[in-house]
Amino acid sequence: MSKPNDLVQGTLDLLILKVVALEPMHGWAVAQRLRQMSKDVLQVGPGSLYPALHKLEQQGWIRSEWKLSETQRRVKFYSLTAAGKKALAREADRWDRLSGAISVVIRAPRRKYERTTADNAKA
Amino acid sequence: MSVQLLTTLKLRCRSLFCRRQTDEELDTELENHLDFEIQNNLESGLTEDEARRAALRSMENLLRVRERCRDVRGLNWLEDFCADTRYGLRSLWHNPGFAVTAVVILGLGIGSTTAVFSAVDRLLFRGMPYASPEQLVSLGFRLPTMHYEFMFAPAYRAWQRETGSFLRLGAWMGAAPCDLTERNPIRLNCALIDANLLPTLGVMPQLGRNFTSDEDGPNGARAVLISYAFWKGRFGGDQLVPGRLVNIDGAQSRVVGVLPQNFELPDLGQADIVMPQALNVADPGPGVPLHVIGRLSPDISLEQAKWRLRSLVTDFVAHAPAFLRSQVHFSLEPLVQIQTPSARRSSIMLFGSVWLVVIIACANVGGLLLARSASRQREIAVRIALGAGRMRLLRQALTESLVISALGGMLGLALTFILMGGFRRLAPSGIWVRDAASDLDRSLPFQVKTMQSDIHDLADRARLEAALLLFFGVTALLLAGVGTYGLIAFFVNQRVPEIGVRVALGARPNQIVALFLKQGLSMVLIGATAGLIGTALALRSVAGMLFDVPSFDPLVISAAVSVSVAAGLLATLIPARRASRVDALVALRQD
Repeated sequence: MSKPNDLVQGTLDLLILKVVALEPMHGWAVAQRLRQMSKDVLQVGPGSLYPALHKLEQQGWIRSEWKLSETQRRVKFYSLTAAGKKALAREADRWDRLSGAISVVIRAPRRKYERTTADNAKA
Repeated sequence: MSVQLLTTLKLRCRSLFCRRQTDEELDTELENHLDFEIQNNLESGLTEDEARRAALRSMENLLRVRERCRDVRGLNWLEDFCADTRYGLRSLWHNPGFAVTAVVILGLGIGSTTAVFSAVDRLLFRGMPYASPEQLVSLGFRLPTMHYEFMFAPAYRAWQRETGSFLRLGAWMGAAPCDLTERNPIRLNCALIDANLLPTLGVMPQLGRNFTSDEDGPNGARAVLISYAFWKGRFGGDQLVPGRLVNIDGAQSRVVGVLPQNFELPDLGQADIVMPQALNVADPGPGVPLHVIGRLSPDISLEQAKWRLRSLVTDFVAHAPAFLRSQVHFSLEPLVQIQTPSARRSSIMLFGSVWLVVIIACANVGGLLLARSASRQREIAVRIALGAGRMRLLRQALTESLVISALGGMLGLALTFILMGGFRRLAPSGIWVRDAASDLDRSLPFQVKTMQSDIHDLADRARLEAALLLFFGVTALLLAGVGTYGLIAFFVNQRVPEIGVRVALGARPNQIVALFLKQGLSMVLIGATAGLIGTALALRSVAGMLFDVPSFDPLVISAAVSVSVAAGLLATLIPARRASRVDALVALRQD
């Protein structure tokens, strides 16, 4: 199980933006959806979730609105703003590049890597 | 980006001003989360009790969640700051002696520095507002008593024809009071210049045009240029002002242009209205004395120019009135040098004094703070024991200093305004910006009082400089006195229980006074010795600014030292006498 603290800095923001982009939803639903979508791998507790939501709201990437839920209770719903939409595309791009680069590095064949460093040492 | 910034700002303001509401909303949000979690657990088959317990476990530390959300909103930082400020104000309130001393010291330091800095700013840190000022020279004749060159009109015209040395010559006659005689009549400062002066200086009117040579003639249409400030104040910066008529000293004149904002006369003077000299060419007499500014041809040096002009000089001297002939001598100097030697050097001296005053103020406040923090070790130890972090304590100490500085700054600002007013009254017109009233509200009929005294009168300037230096001396003495007083008073307060014990054991008031006097005296004597060494070092650089006065005058120096020592002793004596009146019973009950 991966805790958000172990995630690359800023990744939680990206995940939240992505989930909120699907439809306006409240905090608990964001965590739940994230968990479902990641097949129970990504579990975000309120201690990370709400500060992140509030920060994104401060940044103007998501906006909040108090609405009545299906069970007639006042719930704070978050939805993506236009700026958030742009940020999502940008962050997703960045993530692709970053994760791609990380995969390349950690999947590199061991022998090939050793040879290269040996060559470098000779040169 | 700016929309984003606005959102953040809006939310921050909301967090700040509707704090309770945002806090309640956060609580509701977290409660909702808990309820959704319980509901979810129930649906997955747990009993109500189990569901609740599991949900609570998953909520982590609710308080921490709340704190982190508030951190995100930038609230905690602000709250800490407010709390520190309140705490700082409270502790100052309980320690009025320290607070007043520190604030007064800072106020005096900041006030005097700001005032003098505003005054010397133009001279030290800004160049002349003319094109290629290094080519500009001031030329004419000098009498031993004057320190500005003059020339009579016929000579000026003759020299204008001597082409080759100068690209151009321009003349002006200094500023004098004049009256705007129309609705809301006011007194203004009018300068007379000829049509050549602005082109010589390389100054273009910001709006409209310069005088034509016809307008500069004796029978030309009356035309004036107005200053930028006058244009803004009287005409509200109206673009259509050129062409308007104004009535000056009872005569209709047409405004032909507006001078640039940074325009100043070659003597640093300011004028509201600039009028043509309109010299009568046919006038056979010497006429009024003019100041002449020339722009040297690019390939001509000062010496070459002097050489080329020698026959004109001889001619002038030969035709000069007999009483002048033996005393007058020709002078051709760069304009920069005319402005600088007196003004710039004294500005540097004043600026140096300003720094000294600032250093004294800082050292005093630093000493007071140090003494105070030493006495607060117990309080700080308690706070650390209660879990205050080092950063937090540091921040609190800094916030307290900030409170003191802010109060000192306010006092300083008030002092600056008073001092600037005083400086203006002392200053010969032309050295400093004019009447502050005109800056405040230009719609009111204001009166600008100009000093009648001659701008170029050396004595005036020297008197002003002496007054400013005296002011600094008194400020520094005052600062040193207040600082010593504050420190000794603080020591006395610290040692009240000890004094109580001494009194109870039979110490007489005189002995108590002597105790503190000894402490103060040793401080003062060490200071005086350091001061004498400093004086010895400074004398050499001051020597160049003194005329007919020996730089080393034992009488002056011993008087200065005596005054300083006396001030230091007085500052010690007051708290020491208070110490001697400590009531043993009261003092011993204190702890």
